[in-house]
Amino acid sequence: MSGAKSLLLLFTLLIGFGAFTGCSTQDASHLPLMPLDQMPAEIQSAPSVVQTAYRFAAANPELMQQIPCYCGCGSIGHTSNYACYIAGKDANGALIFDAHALGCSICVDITLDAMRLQEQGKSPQEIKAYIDRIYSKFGPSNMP
Amino acid sequence: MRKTWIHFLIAVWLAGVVGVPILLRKNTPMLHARLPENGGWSPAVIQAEVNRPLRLRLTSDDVMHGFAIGQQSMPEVDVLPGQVTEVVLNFEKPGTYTFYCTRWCGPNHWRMRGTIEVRAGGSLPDPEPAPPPLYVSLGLDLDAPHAIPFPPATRPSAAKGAPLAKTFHLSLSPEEYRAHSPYQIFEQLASLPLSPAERWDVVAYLWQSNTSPQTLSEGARLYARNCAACHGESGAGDGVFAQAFTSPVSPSFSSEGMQQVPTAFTDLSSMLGASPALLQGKILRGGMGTGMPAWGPLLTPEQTWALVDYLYTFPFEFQGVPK
Amino acid sequence: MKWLKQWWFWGLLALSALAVAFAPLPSPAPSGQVKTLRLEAGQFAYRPAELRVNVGDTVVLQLVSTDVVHGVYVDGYGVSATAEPGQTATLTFTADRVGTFRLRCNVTCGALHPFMIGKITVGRNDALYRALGLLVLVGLALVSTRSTNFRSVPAVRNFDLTRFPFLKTLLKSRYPQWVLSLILLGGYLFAIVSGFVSTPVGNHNVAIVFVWILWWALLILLAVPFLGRCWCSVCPIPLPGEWIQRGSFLEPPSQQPRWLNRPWPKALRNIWLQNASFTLLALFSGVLLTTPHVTALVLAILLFLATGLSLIFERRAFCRYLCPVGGFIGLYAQGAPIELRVREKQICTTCREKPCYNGSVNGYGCPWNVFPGGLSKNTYCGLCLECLRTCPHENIALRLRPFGADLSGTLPRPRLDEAFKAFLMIGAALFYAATWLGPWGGLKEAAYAIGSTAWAIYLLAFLGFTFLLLPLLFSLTLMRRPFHLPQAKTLAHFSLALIPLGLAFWIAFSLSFVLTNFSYVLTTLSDPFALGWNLFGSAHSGWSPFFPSLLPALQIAVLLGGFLWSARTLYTLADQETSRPYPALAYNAALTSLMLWLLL
Repeated sequence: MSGAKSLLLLFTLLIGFGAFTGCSTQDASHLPLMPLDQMPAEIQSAPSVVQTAYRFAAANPELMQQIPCYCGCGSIGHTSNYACYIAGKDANGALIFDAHALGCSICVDITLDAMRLQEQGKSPQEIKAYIDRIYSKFGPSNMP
Repeated sequence: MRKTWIHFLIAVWLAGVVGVPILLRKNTPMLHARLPENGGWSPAVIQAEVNRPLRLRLTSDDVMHGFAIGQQSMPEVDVLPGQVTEVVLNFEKPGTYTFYCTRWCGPNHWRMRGTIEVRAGGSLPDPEPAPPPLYVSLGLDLDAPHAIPFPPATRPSAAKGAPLAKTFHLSLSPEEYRAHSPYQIFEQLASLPLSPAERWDVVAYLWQSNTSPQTLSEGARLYARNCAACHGESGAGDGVFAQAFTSPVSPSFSSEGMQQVPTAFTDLSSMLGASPALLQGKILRGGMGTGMPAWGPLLTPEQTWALVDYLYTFPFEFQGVPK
Repeated sequence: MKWLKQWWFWGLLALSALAVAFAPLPSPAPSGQVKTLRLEAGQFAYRPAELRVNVGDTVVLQLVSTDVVHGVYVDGYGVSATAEPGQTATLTFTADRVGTFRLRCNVTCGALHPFMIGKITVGRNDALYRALGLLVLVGLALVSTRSTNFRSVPAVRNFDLTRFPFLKTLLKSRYPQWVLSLILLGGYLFAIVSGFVSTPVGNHNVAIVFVWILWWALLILLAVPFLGRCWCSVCPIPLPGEWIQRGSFLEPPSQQPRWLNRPWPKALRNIWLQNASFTLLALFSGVLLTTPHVTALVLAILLFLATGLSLIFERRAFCRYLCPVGGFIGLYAQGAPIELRVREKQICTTCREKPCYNGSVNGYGCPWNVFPGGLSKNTYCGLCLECLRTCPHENIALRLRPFGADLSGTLPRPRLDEAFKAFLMIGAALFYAATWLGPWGGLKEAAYAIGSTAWAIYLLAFLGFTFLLLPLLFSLTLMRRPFHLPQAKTLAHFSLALIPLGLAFWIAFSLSFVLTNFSYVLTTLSDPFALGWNLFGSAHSGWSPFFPSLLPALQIAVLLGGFLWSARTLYTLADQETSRPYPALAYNAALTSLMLWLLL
């Protein structure tokens, strides 16, 4: 009987160990992100970095409205990197997304940089200064 | 006694086959490449210290990818599914570097980029200020239409233009070349006693005189690797991914955004109205919301100019460059 | 003079068979033309699905990739190229070999990469025409011969392995079997763990490569045809459950633990559940065969089920009634040239304790719930050899015997669940050959896109074809009067003839799958954790198909052999029913032709 019991225990442990290590997820970002399922289907099927950028922008309007964009979108009236993702709000207060960043390279790069720097504890001013230095060699800013 | 021994052996054997793979896989850091839709690079940010070798074990979790670092001379390596490619990198200057996928892995291939933060003594220096690109100093609007009114009927020929240019002692300095569109030079030549077709041939010659076989072949290589998948191998804007960038349909979107199809470089009207500075700007910055990537962080200035040189082989017939 | 006439006939037939098989056919004059073809490669098919060129053409293949890096390898020619989107690759070769050749992707391009297959036909599909010609000749020979002649094969005496003291001692010892299954249990757990933690790329993950290529190759190409249920005798799946159930690793303990030990429900004492479990796996095969963690999950579930059922029910309930693999092993084991039987039935009838069934200090009672004294066919004997250990009368023998001995039709008739197993296996082999080895990307997508409408259609087609169409058509061939379908027992009786046919189908299918992918076993062996190791120097040897030129000949030989064997069985069965075998023979010939067409 003890043999059977010890075996049962061994297998339970094995399965438990396997399940535990197999299910451990990647360390997720600590930054606030908007849940993906609240976003349009096109964003849900977009590349992961684009999803992350949309989710971060939607959840961090205060920061993102202080971050410039260098993709040239000043000419279509964008006044910050935030505008590349969010066009505004509808009558019910729900976000209206902008498709611009779905096909934009620099917009998303800037957002990912902002996320990386914020995680390192940088202030919005420091992040803006960094973005200005890195991206001004590619084009004009959309912020004064 | 014998029984305990057997129990022990069984336990060791079974725990071993379960535990060893788990421990080995968990304790071997690897840089995973996945399709951009499935996560891209993981991790996407890598830490390194200046002048200390950074050893990376690259593996792909789906299809063939590639690995290179933007603006660095390190050769590209392939990242193969289920296999491991080891690279040892050494950074002499602190700063942030971009690594990217070098093998087309779908229309979103260019989204596969990551960052290497190279620190000196644990701290990351502020990026050095850089001058704005040429198109900004020239005051060009990258997104303004630049098609010309009366393009030539056939591709202007540098071979035909060469003797004419010699006759009239015409030349074009590199600075003038970069700052002007072919059409602007064509207009400047209006006073010469030449037919429009002859003037275009002269422009073709002047354009080729600002390129070299080396820049053209380097440009051709870069074009095939990075551009042809969308813009087409013949430059006609008909690459295999040309139709991949469509407008979203969800009502929660405001604008149409990326509605564009890739530019056809064989279109004389738009190409002859584009200056090298403009093309360079487009390559550096990418298309605003059109799905055209920004190549600024990846290509060196020399590479970008080589690519620009090469792009003119589509509207122009250069000597010794078959098309 | 009658014999002369017959010799004339048979000689002529043999000569024409030789001619059809080997005679060099006049090939069309070399064209010498340059043929430029655009071949689009996209996950996981080529467009066009089949290329056609003339003999002697200089073929210029322009390989255009439409999504990721793909390649093309031309079977029989051995030439290859790889292409990336935007970088068209050109492959030039002279089409000097007549026939249809498979195009295979040689760059891992995603989950279904091993099944990314196209076709190129140079001139005409010689192998297929020769094979069909041979099939016609074989059919002609079968129709012209008297069935009594055909079935009266020379009796081969069974060869008793347990006659030799040394072998018998070896077989009686529990250790060799136990050690082997313990090693396999380790491998099994290793495969499960690898499936979850190692690379998600199937063709470099132990869970896929060692299970679906190596194990499957050994099972279907060697173990089942030659040694029947020998896999079951060392299978690790029931091991943990059996240990717990018995309360011992090895020898029978002095006191067995009291688990529930319930008898298996009467209504389920058949293999319908096994048919269902196999069908379930077959319908998910697209994901199962290519995704390591799905394979791992299924392996884990099987282990879990087997262990759980051991605690609830007596003996090996899982193996006997549920195992998706055990079902078809049992079916095809009837053809295998090995059997475990009692020597003298008389001894068993007088034996009072029947320790072979009830167990004794020397061994366990039959885990398969079979009374060895009543054994007449291989289907449900798992070759665990416990009865050899328990029998006090030395009345158990392990014997070599002629192939197909259980298919004589003289044994108790098969049941309908067993008959449908035969249909299921044939249907699945045909479906697999079409889906995984054919050039049709749409089929692969449908099989892979679990839950989609296309998959639902695929599912219905599979079920309809396997469980309705195949049995219905077979029943039609057994009608004695028009519009009078045969009784179920007649259908079951004749279903025995489908066993050699189905086995041949599976071998022919697996040959292609296994030989083309076997190089992954070598690469994975050197780097079992996908960590960049190179234990045996073969980690970077890359992909190359084994014997691609020999493959069609092997497949033809196997399929024709299977057809002949099934015909022999059919003649015997028809004799017993005093009916004519020809309609069913035509059915078998039609299915064989279909399989030949799919594979060649």
